[in-house]
Amino acid sequence: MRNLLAAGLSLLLSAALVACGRMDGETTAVDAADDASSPAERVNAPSEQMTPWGHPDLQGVYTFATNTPIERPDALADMASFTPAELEALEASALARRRADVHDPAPGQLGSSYNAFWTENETGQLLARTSLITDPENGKLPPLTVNGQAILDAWLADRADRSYGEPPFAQIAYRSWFDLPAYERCVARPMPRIWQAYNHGAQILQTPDHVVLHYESMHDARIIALDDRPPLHEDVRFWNGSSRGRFEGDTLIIETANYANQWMDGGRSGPPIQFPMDNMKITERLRRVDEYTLSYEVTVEDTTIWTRPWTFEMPWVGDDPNYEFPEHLYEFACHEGNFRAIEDTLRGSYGLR
Amino acid sequence: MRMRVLTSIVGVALIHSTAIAIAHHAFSAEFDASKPVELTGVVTKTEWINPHSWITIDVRLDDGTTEVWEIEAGAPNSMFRRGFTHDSLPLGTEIVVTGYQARDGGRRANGRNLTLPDGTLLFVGSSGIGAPRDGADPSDR
Repeated sequence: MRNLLAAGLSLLLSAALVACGRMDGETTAVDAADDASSPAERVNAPSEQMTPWGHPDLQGVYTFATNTPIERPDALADMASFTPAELEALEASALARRRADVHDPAPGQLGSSYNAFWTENETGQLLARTSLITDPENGKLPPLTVNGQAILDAWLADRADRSYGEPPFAQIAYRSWFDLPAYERCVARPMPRIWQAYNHGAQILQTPDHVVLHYESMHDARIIALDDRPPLHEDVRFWNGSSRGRFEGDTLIIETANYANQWMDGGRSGPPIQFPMDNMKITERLRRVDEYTLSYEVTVEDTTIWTRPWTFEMPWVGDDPNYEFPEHLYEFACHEGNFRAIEDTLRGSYGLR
Repeated sequence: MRMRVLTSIVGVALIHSTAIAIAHHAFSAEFDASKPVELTGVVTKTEWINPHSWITIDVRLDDGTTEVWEIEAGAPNSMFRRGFTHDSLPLGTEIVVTGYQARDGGRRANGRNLTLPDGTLLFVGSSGIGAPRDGADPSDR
């Protein structure tokens, strides 16, 4: 049943995109032909890409994969961005590393055992910036509150308590399914979506009064109202929270709260940013910066955890050959319980402990 | 200074490569890095299920008996994106699997490399499924 619903949704989204004439990769030619008087302006003036009802047209298929860490590495404390030459050198070394992961893993390096072959075309590019975080200006997460530090300390102590063995064979044991994140259990992918191993595809669909953000991973479709309806009561909670959207100029602004009891997932972050999302407010800003690229800027606020809000920004890339058309977002249908993996993980943990 | 900076970034990238593995999986609890296995068997069942597909093989032992092993592979979405389809591994195909055994000692392993009897690497750098020719596959000549 779930599969049927998911397949139906994909068809609807694809059909709607075709109806809107905004199949990525075809739009430019169509638009340019329709507007022969000023084709150059069409390409170079993203603000002119509007829906028939007058909203900025953000529709399309994108990937948000990136190799840039969320926080600026300590060694680059005084360096906000790379030179083009440095960026090229880093891309080359990253490629060499990925090939080594695939073909010549170090003993005990289970990271390679998952066969990076499957995911190496979804690693994304390094940005010129040295961190995804743009505010604070130092590219670092802001200081924690006393409460936030206590949560982090407890999380780290718990991890240490469940750690066995020495590197490279150090292992973490799990006491129950509750120790495993919602993502690993195939229940939900916590917001904000920063980085994941694969399936970074996302599709945006617009109507006059709603915006849909459809993610390939977990096959989530966030249906976001654009009217001024009041927020939900704080007791009503969802995995993806409750969102309200609006356009301001060329930017779609989505404010979300009312998250279910889950832990934020820092994805590919260096430091742990695993915190409960109960009090979190997340503001997303999507804006077209060129024909095929959106800027995705996210501000995270929770004064019980951080002493101030923080913001990161990254591109949603619309001309990646892996994610060119709506049908490139395959049905995910993640098997709840992660088919055998949770069972095996818990059985293995009993042995560890 | 420049070299130090670049080295640091490469170090960060290495940390990230470990994060790849744990993104949808508690590998360390499920499989044992100190128990590498190499199995030769015939495919009897394939289960293309996200987030991980499973391939069941019959492994014939020297004494003539058969052991059933289950091999965990990548997410079908990712495999399909690399050109691997439902028909790429017919039942009855003999394959060689290298990987790591389940931590509980059961006859399950995560499949790192799968190789056909003629030496074609099925899952790594194989030209047969549209992967880039990077020299790692001996058949890429």
